[in-house]
Amino acid sequence: MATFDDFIDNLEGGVKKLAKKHFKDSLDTAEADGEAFIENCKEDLKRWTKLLANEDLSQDDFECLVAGTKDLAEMEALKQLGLKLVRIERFQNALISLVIDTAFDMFL
Amino acid sequence: MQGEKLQLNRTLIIITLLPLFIFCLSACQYISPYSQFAYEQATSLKVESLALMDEATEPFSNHGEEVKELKEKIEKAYEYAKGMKHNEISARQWEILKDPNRNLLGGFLERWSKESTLGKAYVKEKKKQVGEAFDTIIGLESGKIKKSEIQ
Repeated sequence: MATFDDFIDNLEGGVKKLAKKHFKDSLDTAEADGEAFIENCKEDLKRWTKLLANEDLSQDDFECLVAGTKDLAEMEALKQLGLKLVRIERFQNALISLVIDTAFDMFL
Repeated sequence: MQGEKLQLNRTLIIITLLPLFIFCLSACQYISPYSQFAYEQATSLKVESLALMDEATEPFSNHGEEVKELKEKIEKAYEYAKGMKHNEISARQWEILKDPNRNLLGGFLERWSKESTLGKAYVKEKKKQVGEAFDTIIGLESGKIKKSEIQ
């Protein structure tokens, strides 16, 4: 019969693999999304400044657009927060499966 | 002998505690699962909102009824999101998008109603911004865990 220590050893290895799979790739994606958002805002601001200079945008228009960027950033941050919770929940579900599978493999 | 007994005790403990551990973990839910209805609602409202924004270079009075209808649909989408368990983040996104005192869809419609017409360049740029705001709602919804993934 398998020992408790064997069970823990197997579980430990599995958890490490799971954590790498669930968090490493996702964190890279979140970072890339954040950078793309900032880059996008910079491009917008450049374009609006030109439109303002050409009088295609009024000062009010310009102010509303800049203020909109702040609201958009808040919505993007909420999206990232939500996706972070999704990652935690996915990891949790995978962890439950790992514990059950490891226990069944070793003790039954 | 002593060692074997100890090992047996540890095994018994793990077998006893394992279901409890699994039950506790599975009881924790952080965010609502994916909703096909919420996803479709957000994508269709994005299309509808951007199409109506295009009309903002014309007098508001010509489109008052359409704006009213759109606002009602957005309100329904918000109420649906708010009514779902563990869905506070999506509901908050809808709140920001529709708020007439902020600067996304709600603020745009408010400004249109006050100023009667809006400039072409402004409408074009605001449409881009509002489209991106809808994408954050759609992106979060589509990233949520589907029921098929749980089973």
